[in-house]
Amino acid sequence: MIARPLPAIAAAALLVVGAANPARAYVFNWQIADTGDPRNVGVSACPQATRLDSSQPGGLDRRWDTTFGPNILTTPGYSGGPQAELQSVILDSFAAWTGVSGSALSPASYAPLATVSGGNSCTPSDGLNTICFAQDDSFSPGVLAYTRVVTADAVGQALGPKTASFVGQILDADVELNPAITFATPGALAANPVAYDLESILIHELGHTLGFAESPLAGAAMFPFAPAPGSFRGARPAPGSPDAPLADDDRAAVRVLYPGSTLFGVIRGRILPANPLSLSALPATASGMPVTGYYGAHVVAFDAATGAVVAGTLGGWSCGPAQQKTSFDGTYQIGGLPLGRTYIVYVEPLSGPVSPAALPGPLLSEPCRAGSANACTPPAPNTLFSARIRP
Amino acid sequence: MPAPNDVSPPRPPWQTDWRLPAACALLLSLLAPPPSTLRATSLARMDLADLVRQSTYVVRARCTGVAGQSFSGQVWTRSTFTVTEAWKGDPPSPFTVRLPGGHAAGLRVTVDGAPRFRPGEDVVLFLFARAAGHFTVVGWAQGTFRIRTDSRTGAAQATQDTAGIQLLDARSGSWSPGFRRQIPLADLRARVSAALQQVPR
Repeated sequence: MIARPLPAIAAAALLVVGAANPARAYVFNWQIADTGDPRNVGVSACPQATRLDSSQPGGLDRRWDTTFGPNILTTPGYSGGPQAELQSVILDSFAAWTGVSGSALSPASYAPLATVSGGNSCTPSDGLNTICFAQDDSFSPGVLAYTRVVTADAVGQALGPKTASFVGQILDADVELNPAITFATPGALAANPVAYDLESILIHELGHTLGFAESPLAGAAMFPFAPAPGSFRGARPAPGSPDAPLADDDRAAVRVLYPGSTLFGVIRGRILPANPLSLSALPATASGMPVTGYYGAHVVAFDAATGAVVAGTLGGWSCGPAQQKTSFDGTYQIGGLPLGRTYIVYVEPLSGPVSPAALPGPLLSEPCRAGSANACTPPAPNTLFSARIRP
Repeated sequence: MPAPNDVSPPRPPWQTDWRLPAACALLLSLLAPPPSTLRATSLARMDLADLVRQSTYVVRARCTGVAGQSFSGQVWTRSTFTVTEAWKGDPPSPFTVRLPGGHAAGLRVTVDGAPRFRPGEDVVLFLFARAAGHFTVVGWAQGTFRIRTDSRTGAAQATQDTAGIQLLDARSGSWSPGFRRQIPLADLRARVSAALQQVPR
């Protein structure tokens, strides 16, 4: 049997330096404004990256509920107090994200950690960012942890002490850890090889609280699969490198979503079929909006000097301020890249080990919103092509 | 061999030099760490026998409706299904799966990793009965298989939501036959049936 030839593609890359606020990197949680809401007059109908409002230092409340906390810690022989050790892990996990250089995030972005000794504080309507070990009504066998992220649908939407100043603003993010699962703090992990590393889990889940979805890069903290029991991902944080557990891709995402004053580079391009007619049979995604590029492809930037993976994204769409319609034109953009280096861009279909089904985030399912000014039907991610790169 | 519609110009030398290393680096970046256990929203790795053992029911079902719900201060998505085949147990029909996240009471709540369904979708679900009388899905995405019909052969294919990563068995470093991104529905049914012979019903 002769295999069906795969369509070839060309990825055109343009390196643009000096842009401080690129629109995309591995930041997949997007939201389209409810354009029918009168509070959203003048708000763009393009997908907006969800994120915290970091312009209010100390305004991001965080609490943790350990009603049943001690039973999730496995610290045999530990005499320093498991609650103190747990609190240290939580702070280190926050610090991994706030320790990224070139970002506006800092330890001052968060309110002090507060302990809730009883009750249920993991409700999404209280406006408090909470880490909970006590709830079990939403877990099923095999589910270890997840994060609920509440985002604003309209400017002015209020939740607890917060009022949204932009669509997509995170108003509440609660991390839920399964109380039936054994987690271990870094100091206890070696003695508990069947326990899950609490720090790795928390860093990943706290990435969700900041607005990040999944990264297909395996070394990233936001990679969809956490370490096996008894092991941890990356390096442990250290005083001089609190962000050590993160990968460059995670750092790029922080710089894109929470840009500081440091300038970083952006690589933009489009993923196009060598034969444009190969897309002509695809149905339009909206009236007058044909599919003109490949959608859902994995685009990765390598450091040309070292070959190291620096950052990546899932490409395939754009949305301009003039039209305010999601165009499935093959566009990709990778931001947050350190300047002064040369990068090589590689394009890979999501044909495997990471498949479209493994990345069910809004990029693949919700770059459109029914009933809004940006209603459309995304095409299926194209997983059948081979890559060829053009300068 | 280049694809027949490949009209790209010859590659400059640096690209030729980097293409293979770049591809290798990319694959290594995807495969190097032990992706043994979990998914975004963190899930413990489960093979088919685990899914069968932990489930109350295993069904093939069609989604008939999806709605957001606010309950006990939380936002949920309730998806209603009718059973078309019961593979384990005697499930009620229709039944409702409740998963965290969704849109209700003016709140938009995102939970990465929780499967979402669309009306009309044909799925195989490994169901776990909660005490409150509703169902959830064992291992969330791991216990969710989407059924699609191959347009060429007409055969039904089942694709697990966590498909890709679990092809790799971290313990052996080899591809695990127990996890396939896409398998014929008949094969999945046979595997579930075989697994049922090994576990108490």
